[in-house]
Amino acid sequence: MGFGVVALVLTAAICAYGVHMSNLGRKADRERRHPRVPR
Amino acid sequence: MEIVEIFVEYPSGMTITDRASFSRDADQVYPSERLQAVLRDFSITEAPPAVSAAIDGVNVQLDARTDGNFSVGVPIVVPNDEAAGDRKPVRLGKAWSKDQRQQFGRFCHALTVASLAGFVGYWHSTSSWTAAAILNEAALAAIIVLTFIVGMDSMNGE
Repeated sequence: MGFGVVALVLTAAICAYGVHMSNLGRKADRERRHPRVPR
Repeated sequence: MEIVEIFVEYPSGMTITDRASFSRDADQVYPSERLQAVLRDFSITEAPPAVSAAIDGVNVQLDARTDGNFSVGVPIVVPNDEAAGDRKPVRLGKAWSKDQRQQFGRFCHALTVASLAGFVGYWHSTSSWTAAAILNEAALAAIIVLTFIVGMDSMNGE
């Protein structure tokens, strides 16, 4: 495997982690703004 | 009197952040005249907002009073995903805040620029286009597109 493929795999892993954590963050923000259980 | 951050969040998605005075003795928050006027205007067309304030580093719910001020209510506890019944097999770190998402977007765009520089440099330094060279260039092009899109998505200005 060449350098490019290794870099692509690493970047894809970083991006996947980032997207996952960003979605968790957005979900937590939404939950804070509009709780499913009334306060 | 202390100055605290106050957050007014409407169900429509509109959010107002301002500073207000907090009296610990009265347990009340006094918003500015300007904010009170804005809230009065919005109350004509908007549903009642959720109002909270950051007091001593803790987000507390504020209850509207008839005189336009707010009394301090209970601290807002954000239930985590497990408590909400949403169990995930992999959970690495806490959910990212808005600032963290912004920083991740910037990081992705830094990778985009680095890959672009690598793409151009590789292109100009390659004299014979072997399969490996083409594969490397294709991978760099894929990184450029991927990191740009992910970066833009991560800093969507919410």
